[in-house]
Amino acid sequence: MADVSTKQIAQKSAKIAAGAVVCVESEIRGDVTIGPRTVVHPKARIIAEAGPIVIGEGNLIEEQALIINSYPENILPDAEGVEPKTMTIGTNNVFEVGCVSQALKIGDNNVIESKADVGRNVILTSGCIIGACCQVNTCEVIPENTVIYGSGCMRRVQTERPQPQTLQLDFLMKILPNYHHLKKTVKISSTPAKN
Amino acid sequence: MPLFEGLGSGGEKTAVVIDLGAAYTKCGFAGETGPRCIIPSEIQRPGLQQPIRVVQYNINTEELYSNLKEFIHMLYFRHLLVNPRDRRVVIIESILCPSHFRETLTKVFFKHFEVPSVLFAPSHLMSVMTLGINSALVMDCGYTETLVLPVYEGIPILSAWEALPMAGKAIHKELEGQLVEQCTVDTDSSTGQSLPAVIGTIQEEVVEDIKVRTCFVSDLQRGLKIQEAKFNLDGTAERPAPPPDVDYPLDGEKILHIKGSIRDSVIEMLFEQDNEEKSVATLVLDALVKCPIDTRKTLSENLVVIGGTAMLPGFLHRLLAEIRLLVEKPRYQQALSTKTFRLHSPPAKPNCTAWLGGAIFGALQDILGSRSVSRDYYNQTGRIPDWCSLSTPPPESLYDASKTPPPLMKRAFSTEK
Amino acid sequence: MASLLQPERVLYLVNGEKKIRSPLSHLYFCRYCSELRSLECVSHEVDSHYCPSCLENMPSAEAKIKKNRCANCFDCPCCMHTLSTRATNIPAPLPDDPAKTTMKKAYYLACGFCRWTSRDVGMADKSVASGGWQEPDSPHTQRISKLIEFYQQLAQREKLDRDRKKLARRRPYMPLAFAEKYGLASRQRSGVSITGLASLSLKEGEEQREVKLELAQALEEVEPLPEDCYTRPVNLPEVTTLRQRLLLPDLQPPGVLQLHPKHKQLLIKRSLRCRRCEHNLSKPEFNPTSIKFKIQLVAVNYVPEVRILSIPNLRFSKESQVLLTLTNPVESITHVTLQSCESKDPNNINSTAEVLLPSKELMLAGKDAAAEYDELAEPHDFQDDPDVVAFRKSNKLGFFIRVTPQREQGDVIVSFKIRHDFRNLATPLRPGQESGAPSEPVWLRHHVELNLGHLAA
Repeated sequence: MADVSTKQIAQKSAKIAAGAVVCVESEIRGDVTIGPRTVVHPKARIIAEAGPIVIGEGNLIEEQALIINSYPENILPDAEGVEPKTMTIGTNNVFEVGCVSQALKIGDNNVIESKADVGRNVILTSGCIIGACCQVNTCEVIPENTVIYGSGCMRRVQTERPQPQTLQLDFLMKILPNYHHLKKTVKISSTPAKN
Repeated sequence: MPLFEGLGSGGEKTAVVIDLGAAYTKCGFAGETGPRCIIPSEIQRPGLQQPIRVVQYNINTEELYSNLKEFIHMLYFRHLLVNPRDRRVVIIESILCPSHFRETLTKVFFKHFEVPSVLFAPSHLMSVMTLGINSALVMDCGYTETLVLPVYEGIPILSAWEALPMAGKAIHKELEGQLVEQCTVDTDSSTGQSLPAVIGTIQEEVVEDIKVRTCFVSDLQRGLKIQEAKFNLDGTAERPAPPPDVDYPLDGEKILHIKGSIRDSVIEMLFEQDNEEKSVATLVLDALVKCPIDTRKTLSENLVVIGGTAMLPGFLHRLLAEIRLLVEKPRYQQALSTKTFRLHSPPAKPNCTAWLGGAIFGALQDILGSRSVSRDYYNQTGRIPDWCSLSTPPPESLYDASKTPPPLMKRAFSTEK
Repeated sequence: MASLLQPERVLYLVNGEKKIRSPLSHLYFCRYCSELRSLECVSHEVDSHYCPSCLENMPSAEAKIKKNRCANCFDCPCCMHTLSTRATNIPAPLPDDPAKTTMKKAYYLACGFCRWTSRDVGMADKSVASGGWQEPDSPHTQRISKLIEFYQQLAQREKLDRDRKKLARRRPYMPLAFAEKYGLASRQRSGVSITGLASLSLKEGEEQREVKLELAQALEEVEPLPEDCYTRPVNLPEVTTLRQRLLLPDLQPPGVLQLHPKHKQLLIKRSLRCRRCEHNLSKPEFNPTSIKFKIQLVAVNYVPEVRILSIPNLRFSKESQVLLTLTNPVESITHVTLQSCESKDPNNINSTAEVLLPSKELMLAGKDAAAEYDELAEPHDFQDDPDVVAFRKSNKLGFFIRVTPQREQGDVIVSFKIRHDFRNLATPLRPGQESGAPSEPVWLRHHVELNLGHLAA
């Protein structure tokens, strides 16, 4: 019984690891786990409606980005038998200003550019770049190192993956606390992060 | 090293060479190795969604005039970046071009752009010039039609022309039909939907892209088996294993699954013999039959294939194999005794070969002036000489009025004393 | 209400080879011919070349040599945007001491839109920021130049033949009888004697520059398709699209790994010239960053402009008053007379209503830029008929016309002629003339069509 209650309590709050910089103005709802060295800008929104969200290390989530684990369109929120699916986001990803990501699995070193829209059934592997204003809503696994660009969502493969933004992350981790209050870090519970 | 850049010999500027095709226009300067630009032959009017094709033979003169004017304006001021008034023009045309179109085009050039002179050069003859030989059997596989014309000693044998509307446009139509019929589309919400349910029709640009990137021409054995399987009514013939399917993303939301069987079979239609037993390969043999006997051996050993559709992977190999197969058939066996067929490879890609020929000719400034129609001549007579109206000799005729006038492209380089 | 200000409402007729109706803002005015000109009856010319990304002006001789391409800027072969040069630091051994390494800058090209880099196609990083990138030549350059030389030789021979024949025609002007007597009848002999020198020079030329051309060899066999074509799955991002191929006309590579960037194409500034008098109507400035013009003879600066101010409800066969404005573009007083079209006017094909115009001459004050700051009363005192003139404001005048639609359906179109005086301020030809002499006014007539919209229900 006690496990269930602790679990219930655990589900409602966000778990922010030490070393992550999450501004108070950002909106984090639901069961969200944020790894170390991740920076969440003010006005970013991470909403775990239909299941938990696990965010890895070294990610950069900019203003007005929306990461949402929502119910699929044709399923009502109260329907029985709906398994809450966990959304996992790997390391060193960049979510630029104004993007919307509903993809359930995102690997490492991806970049989702400004105002891009990634649908629920897309699975991003590593090194993918979704260009600005591209709406990718297919049911597929995007192969590694793919760049999607242009109004017609053209694709090409690049030879090198985008570099992790270490300089930017270091800079932000130093500067942001000077101007914003940060959310308190909460030790992650014993439940291990799922892949 | 740039060739003949800047001032040409004698101080005249290099001529402009334009090849107005039904699908793509190649334009550039004489003396260069390739066109400066290859652009689709269409113009975009403000307010209209679809671009308008420039090369249309059925519209009235006013509209054609304004379309051509806008298109050539864009060519000069967007791509070539030169003054029209300074340079002579060489236009590569098909011999089947209607007179009405030619005359409107000349009017646009002379009246609106005031070019100094215009030369209409037949595309088949120009492609022979890129090889340095005098005789060849030229096949032009373009967008609207496939046209075969033999050229012997620099003179086109006009009576032996053969044409078939089996070319790019027909392939696009067939491909679109097969895609709509057989292929499914995945959208974000559902998989395996039929195409018309998701999007109405596929745009021709997309169909062309699918053709260029995924389709190819099978070799002879395989192609014959595919044709057999298609026409066999009792289903006994087996189709060879199709190549793998392709997932083609239409845009960010829809993926089109192209069946592998379409990839190798759609271009078979060029080689399928229709009700009159004509295919792209029979055109070559029919043209040979129509030629004088003495010329046939030279022509069959000098085949040249130009045109954008000929750039499809596997096309040339298949064409040669088909010709060699057909020449054994009883229809041709008696008529043709020559069995050797050789293919040339011009120093340019097949879609630019005719342009290159025009560029080589345009670089010959000694004779370009004398063979072109000058603006003064056009202002005096109001018309351009056409091969179907040879009654009036040009005023600067070198020949006596009593002799019959020469055809427009006479023996290109005579070596008679 | 803003729809009344749309340019297509008021059309002026241009008398050229074709009668073109166009709003005044799209027309030019040739003040030497004193006529309106549209874009179709002027000749366009290339004025100057410039690069759209670095905005560098290029003289036309240089543009010709560089094939109308910028020397510094490149286009991405994948998405056709402009490439930017990026630098990385790579360790490189010092020339003096191979053991130590120092950081050297290496430059590569990258596209910000599709993330293409020059490293994707195997182009090595260069050590200079600009000028290191070369475009590959076409593989057939040698053969084509040989072909051109060969044909040039044949062409020269033909030209000499032609010249010789031309010379041969100019026989000595002797009657045939004499010619026969003296044995000069045969053309050939006279041809030889006159052009003996020419034939000699040809022989010399031939020996010097005999270009032997290797005839093209035709092949029996053509390479077939590779076997794995039938079984290998297609990786679409590796295959170039038709558009990407056509950007590189010499090579047209089927695979993405053979794409290479091309220099960026230049743009031009155009100047316009009247076809009849060959004067420039519009000449832009040389500097690419400047939008001004050296010469700008636009029609709105010379011809009074008519605009619709308000339209009441128009009813079939009922007379209504429409309020129009006239604006005076010049600084002197302009006299304007409106005349209705005659019944058999060939230009009057579109009008669907009858119009009653003010019969008196309208006077427009000159355009005075300082007038709004001048608080003194207007020195001009025009006697305005309140039936005709609604209001007057500096160089603008509002007046009424009476329109009677003649058709029940469709747009109401009204046409009339406007006659105004034009003082040609072009510099006099002879410098000896007095500068104070006023130039003679020329009366110009233009045909104007107004589209007043639908009839009220």
